[in-house]
Amino acid sequence: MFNDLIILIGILALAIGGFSIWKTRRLRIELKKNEASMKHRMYELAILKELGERVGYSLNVQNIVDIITGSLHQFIEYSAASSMLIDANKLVFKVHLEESVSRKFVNTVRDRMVGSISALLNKDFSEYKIEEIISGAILVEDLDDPVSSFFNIPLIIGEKVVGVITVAHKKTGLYKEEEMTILYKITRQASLAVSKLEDVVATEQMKLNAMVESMSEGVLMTDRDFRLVVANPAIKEIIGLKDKIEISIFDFIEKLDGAFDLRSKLEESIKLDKIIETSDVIVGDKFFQIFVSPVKVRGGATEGSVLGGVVLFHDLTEEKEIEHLREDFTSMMVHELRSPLDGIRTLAELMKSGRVKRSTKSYTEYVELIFENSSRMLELVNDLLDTAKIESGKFQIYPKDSDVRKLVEDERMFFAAQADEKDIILTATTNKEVPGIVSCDPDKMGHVLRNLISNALKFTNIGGHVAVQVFMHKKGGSVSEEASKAGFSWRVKSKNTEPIVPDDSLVIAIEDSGIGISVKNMSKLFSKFKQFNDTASHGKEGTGLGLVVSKGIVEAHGGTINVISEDGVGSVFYFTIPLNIDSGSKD
Amino acid sequence: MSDKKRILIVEDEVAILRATSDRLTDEDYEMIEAKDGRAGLDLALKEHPDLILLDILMPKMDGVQVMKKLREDSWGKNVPVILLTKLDLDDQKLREIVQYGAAYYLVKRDWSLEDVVKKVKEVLIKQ
Repeated sequence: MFNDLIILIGILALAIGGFSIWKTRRLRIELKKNEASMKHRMYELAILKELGERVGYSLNVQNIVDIITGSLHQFIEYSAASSMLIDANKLVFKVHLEESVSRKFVNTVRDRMVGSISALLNKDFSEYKIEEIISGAILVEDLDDPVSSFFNIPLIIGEKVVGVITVAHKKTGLYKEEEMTILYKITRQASLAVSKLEDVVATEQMKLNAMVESMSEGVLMTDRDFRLVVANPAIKEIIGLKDKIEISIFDFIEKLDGAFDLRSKLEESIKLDKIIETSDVIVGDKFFQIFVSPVKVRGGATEGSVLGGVVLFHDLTEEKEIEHLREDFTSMMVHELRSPLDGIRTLAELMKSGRVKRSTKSYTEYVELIFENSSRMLELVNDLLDTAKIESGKFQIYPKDSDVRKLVEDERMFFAAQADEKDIILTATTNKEVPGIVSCDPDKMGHVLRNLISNALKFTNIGGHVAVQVFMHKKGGSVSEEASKAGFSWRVKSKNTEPIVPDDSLVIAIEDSGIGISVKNMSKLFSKFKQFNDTASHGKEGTGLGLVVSKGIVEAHGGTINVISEDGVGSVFYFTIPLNIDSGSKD
Repeated sequence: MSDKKRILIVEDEVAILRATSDRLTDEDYEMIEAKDGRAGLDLALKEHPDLILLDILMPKMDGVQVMKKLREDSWGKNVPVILLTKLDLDDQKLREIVQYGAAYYLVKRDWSLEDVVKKVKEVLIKQ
């Protein structure tokens, strides 16, 4: 019995012992497994961190693939770790050998990779040129180990297959799902990171492109080998290649031939590392200022290295035109002042000589001409002074209670004789709703009226009519409708939307049956530098300053001046004076 | 037709036109007047004057154009022309016109009426 017990205990002890041994073994296996999985996790984290850092600098897929393949040995056994990437028209095949293999081994790996890329992209790549780079152990021809273990991981960036990564071994049965999963995961992570970064870069690039595209300056950029990288629409337009889709730097060199040596300027700029500016380059019928500047990397490991050159075309045509207009204006002024003065002097010389008797008709005529010429000059000098004051903001008006009816009638009387001479019917009518007394500067207002009436008479042919019309404008009303309501019918109709007129204003319109103004010239009417050519071709005198001064006077009253005109039909010039003048220039 | 020499004056400044024309009438020349380039050219080709006094800056057709057209004409290519001008000698317009062969040019800044009379006589005696 006792023995039985001992045996029993013995068995039990054995069983317990056995169990504990079994248990310990199991624990150890578990531990080992955990350890391996930990190692894999650590590896995963380490390589992802490294990828993250590297990807930060570079979007170069090859670099990223190199990082992955270069780190594989940490968790996987292989004879060869390789990558194959699709370049423009070739395949880049990189193999890292952990141990020596035969040429045949590498070829097998290569062919299988080409096969899998072809399968992934559903396109035959077997005819593509393959650039091969082998690193690590050397090839040994005597060896005859076949590729026994092998797996492929596709490399996908931005949903596009760009290549494959492959691990191959001489030994059989090596790669399990676990290894493949890890590599797959890493590749996927790397792909995601690159894809995201590419998105960011693409967005930035789009912004940059949109900016360059919308620039009115012409911009082109070349790489270090003077190949065209960027050419915005403005520059294509400038160079006359707007409709050409494929353009190269040679198009630019050819089109600029004789005007600008693009290539040597780029070379010079890059060599001397400075911006080169060239002024007054004529391309087509325009003037340009051209800047050529080197483009260099800022920041990062390659700071300072030259990427290429950028060329900017700044259009100077308009500035030149303004300069030209200014010169024209000056010479016109000189002519306008010198002509009457020359006349006065010549007449005075003749009279001084004593050849002309006081009693003769000629004598009276000469005195009349001298008076006319000096008046003309005085008026011009006054206009010039007023223009200068208006431009510098120093123009002042002195409003006081004025009788508009009288003001208008006075001017009509002043021009009555001149109108008669040309057989033009000149009328002045004030609508009954216009108040008897309006606050304005009567002298300045008279000046505006004189300018406008004199212009109307000048540009209206014999037998026509010029009408001065005064009526009221109410807030929100249309001036042409208000004119018609006040009983004034205009020959010309406003084609565009009517300009905004201040609330509750007095409107004075000068309507004529004259030659009218073309749309082209309309916009130039109230600007200083215009006219000479226009007036010269019509044979009418005038500097055009009258309208500039008139506009200044009306605006000083807080009013507006506008014109409606039709070529060959007539014109209506009208200006408004607000009833409540709130003028800062009031004393 | 009288044996008086006939002079065409083309000038847009009435005071100068008047004074010059009257002064030369005094010298017993027959004067023809035009106030702009186009009228001047028409009169020249129609009347064939012995001499033309021509202003340069004028409305409708400037002196340069008048000269050019005149020199294209078989009669006009030989008629002596005196330019009445306010332009400086280095002015582009003046250079242009001189290339069409003016007999003489004057710059108004310097000349007096008597200078014109003297020059007119000189040119016409040579004829």
